Amino acid sequence: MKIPLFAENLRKTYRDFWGRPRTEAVRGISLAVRPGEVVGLLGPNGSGKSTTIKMVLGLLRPDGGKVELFGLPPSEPAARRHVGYLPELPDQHRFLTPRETLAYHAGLMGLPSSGADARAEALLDRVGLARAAFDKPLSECSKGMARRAGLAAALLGDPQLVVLDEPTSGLDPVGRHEVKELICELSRDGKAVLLSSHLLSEVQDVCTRVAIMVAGLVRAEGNLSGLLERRDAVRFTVSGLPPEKEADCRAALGVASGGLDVAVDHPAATLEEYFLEVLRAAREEGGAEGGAAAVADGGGAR
Amino acid sequence: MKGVPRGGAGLARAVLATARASALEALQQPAAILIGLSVCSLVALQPLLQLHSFGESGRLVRDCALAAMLLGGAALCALCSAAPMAAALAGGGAATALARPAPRAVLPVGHWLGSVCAAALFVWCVAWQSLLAGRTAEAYVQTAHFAGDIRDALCGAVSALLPAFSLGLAAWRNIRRGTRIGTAFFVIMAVLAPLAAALLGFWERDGSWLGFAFWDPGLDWRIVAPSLAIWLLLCAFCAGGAAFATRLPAAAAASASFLPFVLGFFADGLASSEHLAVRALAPLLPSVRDFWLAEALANGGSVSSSALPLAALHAAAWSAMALAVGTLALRRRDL
Amino acid sequence: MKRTVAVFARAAAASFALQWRSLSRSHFAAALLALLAAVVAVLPAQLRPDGTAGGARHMIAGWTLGVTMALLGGATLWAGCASVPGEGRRFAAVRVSPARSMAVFVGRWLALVALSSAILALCLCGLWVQARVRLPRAALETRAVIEPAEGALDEEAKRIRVWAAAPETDPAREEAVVESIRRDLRSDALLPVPPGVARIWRFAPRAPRRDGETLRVSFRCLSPYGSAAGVNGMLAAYSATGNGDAASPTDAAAFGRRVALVRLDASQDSSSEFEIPAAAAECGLVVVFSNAGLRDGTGASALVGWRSSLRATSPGEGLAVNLLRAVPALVAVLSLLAAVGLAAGCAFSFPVAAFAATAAVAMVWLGSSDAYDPNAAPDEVVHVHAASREPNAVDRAVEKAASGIGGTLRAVMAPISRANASEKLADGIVVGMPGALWALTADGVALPLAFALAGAAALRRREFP
Repeated sequence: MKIPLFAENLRKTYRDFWGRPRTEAVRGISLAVRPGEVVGLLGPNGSGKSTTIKMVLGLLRPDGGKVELFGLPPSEPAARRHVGYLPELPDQHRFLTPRETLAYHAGLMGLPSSGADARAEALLDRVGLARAAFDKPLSECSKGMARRAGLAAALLGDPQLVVLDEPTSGLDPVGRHEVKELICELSRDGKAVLLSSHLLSEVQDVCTRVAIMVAGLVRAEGNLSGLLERRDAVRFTVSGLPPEKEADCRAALGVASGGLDVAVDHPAATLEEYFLEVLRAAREEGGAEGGAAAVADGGGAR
Repeated sequence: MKGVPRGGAGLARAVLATARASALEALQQPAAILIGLSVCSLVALQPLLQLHSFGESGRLVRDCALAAMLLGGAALCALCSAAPMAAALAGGGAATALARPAPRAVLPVGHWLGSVCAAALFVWCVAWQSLLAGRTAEAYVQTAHFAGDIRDALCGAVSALLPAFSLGLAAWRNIRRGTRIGTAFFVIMAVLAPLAAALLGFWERDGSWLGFAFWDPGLDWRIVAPSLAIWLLLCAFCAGGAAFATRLPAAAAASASFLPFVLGFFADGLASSEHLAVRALAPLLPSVRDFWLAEALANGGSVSSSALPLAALHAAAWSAMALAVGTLALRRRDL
Repeated sequence: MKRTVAVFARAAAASFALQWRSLSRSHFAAALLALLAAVVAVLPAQLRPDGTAGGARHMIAGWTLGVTMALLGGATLWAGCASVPGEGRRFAAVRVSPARSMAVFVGRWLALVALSSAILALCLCGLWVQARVRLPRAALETRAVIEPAEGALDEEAKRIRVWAAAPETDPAREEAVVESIRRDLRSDALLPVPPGVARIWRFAPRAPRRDGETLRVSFRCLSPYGSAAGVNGMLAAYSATGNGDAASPTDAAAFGRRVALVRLDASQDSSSEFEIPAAAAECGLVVVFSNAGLRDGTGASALVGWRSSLRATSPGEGLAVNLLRAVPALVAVLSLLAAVGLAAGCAFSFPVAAFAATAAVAMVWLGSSDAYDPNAAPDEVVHVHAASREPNAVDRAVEKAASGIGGTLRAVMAPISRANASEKLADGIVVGMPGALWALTADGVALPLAFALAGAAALRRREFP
């Protein structure tokens, strides 16, 4: 099976009305999401996360680089057949009910109408939407309920690549937990998931890999455990150590053995600590602010 | 709370701040530039393109220019005024403003004031173009060099190029200095049009140079009064739009704001209806006939001295009624 | 292939459902219905007819329907302009889906057409009720126009050439003069018929549709002084058996059996209307107008147009059926406006799309009018037919521009123009079904699909930041 998402050296510069470059939102990033992976895309506001996601989905045309969804460019309808997308803002039609929303998306995907009801109900149940809300217009639903309906629409058609932009936005703690469970389930089922979120704790809970973007570039990327491992510190873990020996162990630099299990590992920082460290380093390096790099010039259209 | 002015001064500042923001927002809409540019160009090109006349020199040009001013102004007010206010209320943008220590009435009143200023700028630009079009229109001219029917080609060319030139200048300022293109276009047009009219006073209608000793702009100033009357009608129209915008979504507010306007064309007929309920409705509509003073200019006539004050009174009364209804509606609205 | 079509159809159906729900569940549809209901209910009460059946019918089927179509057409155009821009970020879901842009466009277009057609149907029902309540019985009747026979115009042009002037020696110039006469007849220009001269209309054989059917012949002419009076002449109808060509309408042998003869008096309005049995036209019908002039040999020329002066009509099925016949042509207008609006909305933001679409429609409406048609009937009376009138450089430039732009617009809008449903309803003339259906096919389906291609291309190129 082809790689669900492959992006190489993507670039995007926003221009003003006169075509002059204004903001270099993405300055050459490469990204790949394989089946079974949950890749977290992190970054401060204006770092180019949303722009990257939109380029990947064909909503924006990159100024440079290459994007392939299952080996095809995103502009091809066939490429989008196996993609599910949940955008950041509540973007459902407020005059539709959740059931009608799913019917609409099913139609757009060309899914047959037979079994549509059962399919819709199963999905809405899966995302934890109350049955009473299935046929309520979204204008009468809370933000969280609308979000769940959007998530169900993103899972329609059993997509192989799921792109989630702030999936837990507006959800209560129980809802956030359910969504995290859902994401893990998708990963176990072999789906590829690209997740963008500001909630670092939830990214830490579900992602296998993360890419941290700052000012349009990927500053750090890799397996989560590897990134968070603090190689400048060593932790000795001794099980069953009697309290009177604790002081000796503390004083010694070597490992106390004698038939006791000793585990040596590197302590892990939290993702938040690591994230802030990367950000600090990026600022010290190039003086770049958290957001995208503004193109230096003398004026601009408003 | 220390530092926050109370009473009339504070209220006035709040209204003016809202008015300024509304006026800028209205003039910055792409539709405002398109409407302003097309109406000004149409009025200027009319005397050059029309093939008929009603016998009286310049009448068709004058009437069409005033009609374009009215319709263009109404479209401007609906698209660029009522719709953005409704969108701000629905989208939550107005909630920030209404959370401030100012009564809710500030929003519709300030918004109306801003729309009225934007409409005034539009009417000013179109009125000057109408004056120039009146000079361009074919008329009998007797000069030292020429006697006969002639179009003022120089004036026609200047007034036809004026809107495009103003837009070009506004675009240049936007590129170089980042100034707002919409506002710049209207302001530049408002300054250049009277300047062009003044400079043309040194030329005769047949294109011959009058010399610096003589100056005659040759403009038919009678068009000023009907233009003012149209602006007054637009003020009433804006008030209706602001009232609808307090309750309806953007598209509905823009469309609904035309309704009393359209019904106003039939106000006279409704006033003479046999049914009491229909007769009672008539005074509640802005009778367009009171604001359309173009007919008075036919055959060399002029607008009577009472027409404009009566139109102003009519507009003021209707606007006050509409704004009062809008304010009450906004008071009871959940945001 | 089947699967592709099925997928396309499902995406179009989903777009249709969304657009329909969006319009019907918003204030838009309700406000539009309320406005149109008010127009249909109130406008006929406000308009004052001139006391004639035709005037009363103009009030309802002309003015009220005209205002209704203008409002409904404008609303359809602007709803199309708002369709894509109004969704804002929500449209990203459509772009991310595998649905083709064309399917999305077609679905939304069909929904707009369906909703506006439904509203139109309700308005026509309201108009029908108003007509039944307010109009006299005579105003509810319709007449079907019987066109002169194929070749009758050409024959008449040659006949006019014969008496008009000495023949040209050059055959090419002679043909050019005849062609200019044909053009004037076709454009319904007012051509003079001096004293002693006749104008002949020939109609193809026509069997009566029912027992006792009568045909109505209406004639009207002008004098050069602008009034309708002052012309002394005779109007005769013949059941054609011969191929005669005579100045005198009393020469029955030339034309056939005379079935009607009416004198037009110079002191009265030079118009006449009479009825003849439909059976008289079984072998063909010839109607002859001849200008008898005054007794002393003087008298004014009569100004006669080929279509405007003489009209032969047969009974139609009534206003209700005529309204139904007009539906395809009216729906064609709404369909085209929906497509134009949607295409503009696919490319631009709503205000710019609304402005561009409205300006485009206004330009088409003005550009396809007779004012810019070099082939339209000239304002002044045509007294002289020459091989060619010599235009100057400005005339040539204007004519070239007018014929280029105006001609294209007229050709594109020809199906709707020829169906001419609104005017025929107001005049009580039967709307031809072939014309109405052709208007629906050409301007209501084929042309919108061309806009669909442009709109879909614009959607594919559009970015959603």
